[in-house]
Amino acid sequence: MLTIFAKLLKLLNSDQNPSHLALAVCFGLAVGLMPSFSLFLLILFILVCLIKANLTLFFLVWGLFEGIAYVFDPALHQLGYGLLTNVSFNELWGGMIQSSFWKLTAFNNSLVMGASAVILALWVPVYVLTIYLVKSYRGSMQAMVEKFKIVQMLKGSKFYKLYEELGA
Amino acid sequence: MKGMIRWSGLGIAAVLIVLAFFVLEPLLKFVIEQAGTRALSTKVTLDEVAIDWSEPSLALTGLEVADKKQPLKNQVEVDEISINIDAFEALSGHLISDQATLKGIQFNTARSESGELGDIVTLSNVDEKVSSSASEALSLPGLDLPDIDELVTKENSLTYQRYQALRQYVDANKDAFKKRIDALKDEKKIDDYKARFDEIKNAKGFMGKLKMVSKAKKLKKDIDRDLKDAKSLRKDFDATVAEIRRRVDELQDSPKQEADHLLHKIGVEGGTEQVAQVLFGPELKGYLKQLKELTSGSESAENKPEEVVVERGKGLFVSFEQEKPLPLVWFKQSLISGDFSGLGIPFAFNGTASDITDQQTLTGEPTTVDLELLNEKVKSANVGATFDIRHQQVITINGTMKGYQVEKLPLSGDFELSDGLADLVANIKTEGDALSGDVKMDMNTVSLTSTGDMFEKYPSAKEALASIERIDANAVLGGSLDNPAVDITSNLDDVLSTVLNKALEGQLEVYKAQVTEKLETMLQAEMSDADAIKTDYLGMSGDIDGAKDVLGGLLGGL
Repeated sequence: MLTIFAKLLKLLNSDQNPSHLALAVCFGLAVGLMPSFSLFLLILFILVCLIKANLTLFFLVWGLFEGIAYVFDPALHQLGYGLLTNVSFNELWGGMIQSSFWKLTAFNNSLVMGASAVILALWVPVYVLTIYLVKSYRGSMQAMVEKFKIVQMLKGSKFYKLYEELGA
Repeated sequence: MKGMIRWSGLGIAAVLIVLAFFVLEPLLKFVIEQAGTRALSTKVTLDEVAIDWSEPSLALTGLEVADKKQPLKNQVEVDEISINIDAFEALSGHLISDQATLKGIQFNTARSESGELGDIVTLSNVDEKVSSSASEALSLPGLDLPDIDELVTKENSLTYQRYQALRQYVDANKDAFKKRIDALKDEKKIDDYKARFDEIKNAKGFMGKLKMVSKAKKLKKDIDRDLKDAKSLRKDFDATVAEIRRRVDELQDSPKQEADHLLHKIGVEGGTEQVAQVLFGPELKGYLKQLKELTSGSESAENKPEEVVVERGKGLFVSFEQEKPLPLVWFKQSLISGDFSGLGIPFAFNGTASDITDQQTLTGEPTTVDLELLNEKVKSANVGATFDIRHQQVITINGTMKGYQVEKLPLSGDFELSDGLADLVANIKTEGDALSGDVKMDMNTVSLTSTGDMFEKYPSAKEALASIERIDANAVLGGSLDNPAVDITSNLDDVLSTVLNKALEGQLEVYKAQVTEKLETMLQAEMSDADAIKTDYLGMSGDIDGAKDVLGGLLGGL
């Protein structure tokens, strides 16, 4: 837990482009929510490799959203099932199922559809919010946060120093 | 945008794509297992999937399809399936190929782990081995006849029942006749008639005689009425006596008739007819029931899952109407090989199949199979089958077998086919559950023996059995797969029937005589009584005639 917190603190205090951090959050969220049997997952991994998203943060958020996805699995299924069985989209899904590519994405799976809908809905807000939060933190909250006893304890610990020396 | 691209990541992405090829095989294994399980509503597992990029083709090894009814058994197991198909096409979950090779097809094999799905509890059915042969043992008359004392009892005796009926009839009529005779022979009345007769006879003078004319007319009328009654009584009496005579005669023959009836009841008549039916019928019915078990598997392939339990992390696949909906499996032309021993048919097989699929409604073609059956005891055997489950299930099986060396084949009714060389031609068709067709068998160098002690008492029958060198049998199939009707005719019927009937004739005669004697002894008193009834009745006849004579005499005087 401390390691994660230290990692997060280090990232926020670094001069990393906020948009790279925001992308990492978005990709972490997407990969965490997306079921493993969809081609979307491979596409997301390739994009993470190609786009300058912070990988440390990506892995952190991925882990977090794996847990969230497990907890919210029934809700994601319900959402996806509702979309897939909604008459208004019937023509769209009917057209997509003719394509092998879309079949490989398993879009007609309730969990994939539910996760995809949540990812698409959250992507832009999460991206914008993350940039805003990072910028806010660095602009006004960084100095205040560093004064917290727990942060000072953490930064004074051998572990944090070792962590900084290793450049993790 | 330029600042967004991680060029170093390009290499990693390339590595990822290459790695994806390595995970493609386990991914395909997962996809096929999932799609198969969904489509067949039973657990489908694979040992391994190997992709050959040069062909391109897929090799699936260790395919197991669990039996829904018995989760610890596989309905079908295939050692190796080679399919000419692009791996990416297979990722969509559809295995559709123009050419396929299926090796090591086996049925009813054991599973290492249960094939149950979800929480559905399926109690494994106890193997219902066909045991009809045990229930249809050959019954030959005279060999196992029941004890005479048990067979013949007074309460159940037809003769005794006839005697009692006669007794009742006689008692009822005797009283009525006695009353009528007494009324006719009434002395007071006769004396009155005589007094009136004397008065008429002794009348004097013209006027006196004239007066008596009307009295004489009245007397004549009375006597005529009584004579008419006497005639009617005679007529009724004669009819009753005739009936009593008939019944007494019937009673005399009754023990013999009853003996025949009892022998018929215990199956003496026709006991040796259709020997082949009894010998081969149960075995053939057993094979037909296996056909039912085999076909019930193909029916289930068309069934959709009744209830899907959504597992966490797996979701639910929603089906949409496709322009060209495809089945899960469609091997248009296949080379197949395997073993039928799991179905109780001792043959390996090798052959071709066309349009192997899980959904014929989508392919629009029936599945046809052309197999060469292999067994070291058979010179040659071929079977062609068509499975059409597009609408109503129609299965046609045509098979020929030549030079089937039969050794120590147990038959029903303590018989054993020790040796024989059989040629078989079978044409079987099922439509829904209805069964039709025929099976012709020509067996040479036959050695048929009885394993029980049935023929020990009958050396001639044993000899006849040993002398049979050739069996021609023709089985006509009908009924349903659940309850097949098999009508077998064979030269065995004539040969054994003649010999056995002759051998049994003597014993049956003795038995019949014993039954008759027992009945006669048991009903000796009743039979004597029947004769006495007849005599007693004949005595009453004199009384009627006496009354008639008296009345006739009076009337003659008038």
